[in-house]
Amino acid sequence: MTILKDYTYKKIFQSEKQLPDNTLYEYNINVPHIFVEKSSCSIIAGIDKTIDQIKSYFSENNMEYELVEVGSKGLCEYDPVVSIQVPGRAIISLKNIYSNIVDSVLDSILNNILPERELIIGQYSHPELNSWSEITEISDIPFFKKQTRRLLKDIGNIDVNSIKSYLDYGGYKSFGKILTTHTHSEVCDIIEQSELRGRGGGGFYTGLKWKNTLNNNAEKKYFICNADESDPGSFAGRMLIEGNPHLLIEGILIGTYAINANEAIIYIRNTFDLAIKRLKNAIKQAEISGLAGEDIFGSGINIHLSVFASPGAYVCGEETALISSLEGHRGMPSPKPPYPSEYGLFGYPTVVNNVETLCNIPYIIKEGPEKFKELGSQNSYGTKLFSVSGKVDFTGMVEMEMGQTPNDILDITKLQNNPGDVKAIHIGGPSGGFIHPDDFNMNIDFDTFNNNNMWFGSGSFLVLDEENCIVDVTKYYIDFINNESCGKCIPCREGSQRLLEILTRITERPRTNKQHETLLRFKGVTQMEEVSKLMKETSLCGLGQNAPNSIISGLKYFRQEYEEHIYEKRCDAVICRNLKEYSINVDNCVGCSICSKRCPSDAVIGSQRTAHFIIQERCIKCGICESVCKFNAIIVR
Amino acid sequence: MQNYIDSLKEHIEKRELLSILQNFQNKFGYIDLNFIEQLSKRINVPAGKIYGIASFYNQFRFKPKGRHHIKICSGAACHIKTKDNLTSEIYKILNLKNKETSSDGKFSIEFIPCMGACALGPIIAVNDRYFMNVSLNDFKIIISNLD
Repeated sequence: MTILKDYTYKKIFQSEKQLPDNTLYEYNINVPHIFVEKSSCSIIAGIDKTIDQIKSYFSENNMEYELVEVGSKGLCEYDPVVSIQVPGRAIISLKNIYSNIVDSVLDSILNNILPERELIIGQYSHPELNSWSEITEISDIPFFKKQTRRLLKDIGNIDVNSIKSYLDYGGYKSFGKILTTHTHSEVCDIIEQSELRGRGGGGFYTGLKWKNTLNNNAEKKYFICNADESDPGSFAGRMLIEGNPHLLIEGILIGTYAINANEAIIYIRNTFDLAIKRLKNAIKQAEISGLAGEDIFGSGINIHLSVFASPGAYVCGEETALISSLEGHRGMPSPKPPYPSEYGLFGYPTVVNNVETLCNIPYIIKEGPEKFKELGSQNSYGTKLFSVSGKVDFTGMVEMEMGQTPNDILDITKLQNNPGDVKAIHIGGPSGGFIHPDDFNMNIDFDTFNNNNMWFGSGSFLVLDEENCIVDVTKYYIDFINNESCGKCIPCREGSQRLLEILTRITERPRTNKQHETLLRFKGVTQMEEVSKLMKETSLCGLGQNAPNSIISGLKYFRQEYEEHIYEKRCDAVICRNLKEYSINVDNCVGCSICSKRCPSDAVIGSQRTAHFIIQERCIKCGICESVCKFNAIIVR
Repeated sequence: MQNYIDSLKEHIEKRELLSILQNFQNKFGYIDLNFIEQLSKRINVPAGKIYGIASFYNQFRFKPKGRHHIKICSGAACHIKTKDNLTSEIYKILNLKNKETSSDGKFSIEFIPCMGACALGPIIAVNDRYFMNVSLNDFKIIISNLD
């Protein structure tokens, strides 16, 4: 790491090295450059072994090289991703580079020969460099082409461990600008004009929040960045920090200046090891360069940054709960008002902002609020990150303009977006709900979603197909809420418990087939609607109020599926284990008797060498017969 | 443990409680109940209150980890990609529940809300080794290869 003590404020402002978009680093190099996309996803895929192998390859061959650690561009499906630039040639990006193929790939690329086609993602052409023939441009790949990458623009290009790299891309210029030419309230005005809304889910106007806090006179104020992203299936904020930690820090510095505070805390999950490491490193670099800490660039302004590794509770995404957790209590929410902008951390005015919201700030300051508002729809401007997962071909992080539709997202994440392939989309994590294919043309923006009683939260986007059961997915989310409910208010604590019980009951086979059992199960559904309504109206915080969204939207669009579970005791997706029915295909069964020997409840009968039979009343749905049968004779329905 | 308590500074504020617990767990692998009692005398906060705070958060565990600490991703993407009721089978095979440790100290399991590799699910980690696209059979093989 180069220590940048000589990097004065003036130098940052004057460094006008313009790097073209979508180009990695510099083009004029003497030794091969290897760019490794190291993120939490690629670590699991085995990037560390790949890196070790690359290092040993070059040391064995006694060659000079440069290894640059960059963040993930968002295509998790292709991890581990490695991009290679040999002097004079365009950068080529390769996918699935596991350690065992590193040697052969490097052998061919360093000799100017292309590796196998299925390993190639694309190339980044540059007018000064020789392109590879017949290789697509990265920017022409549908996945990237149809996105509006504003926050993610530099991710994958910036060296995550170097502040210099961020400065080369114009970093910290917005902060320098406001520090010299803008007053605190002017910054708040700019953000207010941009109508930026909180990306954590609530959609509150950021500028207004800042202004309220600024106008509260107190001896001390706090600025908190909420990086405790803990929805299952939401990883955009984490990847944003991993890919460009300085962008977040610049956003925090601007926000802290705007509310005239001296202390900023980043509240981040303890399990995000890589993100914490990179953030701490970035803070240290910013402090050494004089961009944070005491007397920033001689302006007399002090801003101290610190990282708090949160011990982890979903409810701490709620700002009052987060504050109580920072004070060392159980992370429980408290009623609002008083709002944190009046009475927050240790009683001082406090602003809590989400990672994605803060990453928008440098852009707004740099380009002005009007430019920011060029994208997006009425009352929701800018872009939104989505963590797309589930039954898609490209799992990963995408950035879309506000007001795009679920269909647009499916278009870029599926190879073929045929109508009927997707059964439903669950958007917004545990607090979100289902979207039916008929509504795939609905605009994703705050107003449309609020009017439809929906919520896109932190942007998790889970795609379900015919093999997934709506009741099962709902049960999964309610189980999550039930575990994570803090227990302070009764509607959420008891309500989630009752909802889980009802859902469990309808996904299980009743003990008897008598009519009143079916009636009881159906009564559960009507009660479920009542409980959901009650929870929505009376819960203390957003967690409880939004918890029944999955049930409400599930019942609205997929009522038929609930009814199948209740009346016909049938799960078409064959997911709900206790509703499964096992039977034996007489044609395939050779009568080996292995299933009848292994059946724990003696449900399989039949003599040797003749087809067997399962007595349904005795069957306990353990599935052992299916797993031991070698002749595919067990039919599961 | 006594050394750790002695090494704490004289005056401890309530806000530092969580980081003290975190440091203790990082060092010893779990929160010892004796530690809570001693800490409570030291900082004049009832032991029940400290336990209440510690048990509220997902990070803290009150039993030592097993030799093979198995982390299972329970994120939404992993859940819908999981077949064969993997999680409930794991409960059965190991006879353990979340955050528990087997009596011989061999296995312990922990569920992580999302490991952030949704493309590769279902994901299981044994100590620091990751396994991707795990099926029930894979899991049985992984377990049988551990000593």
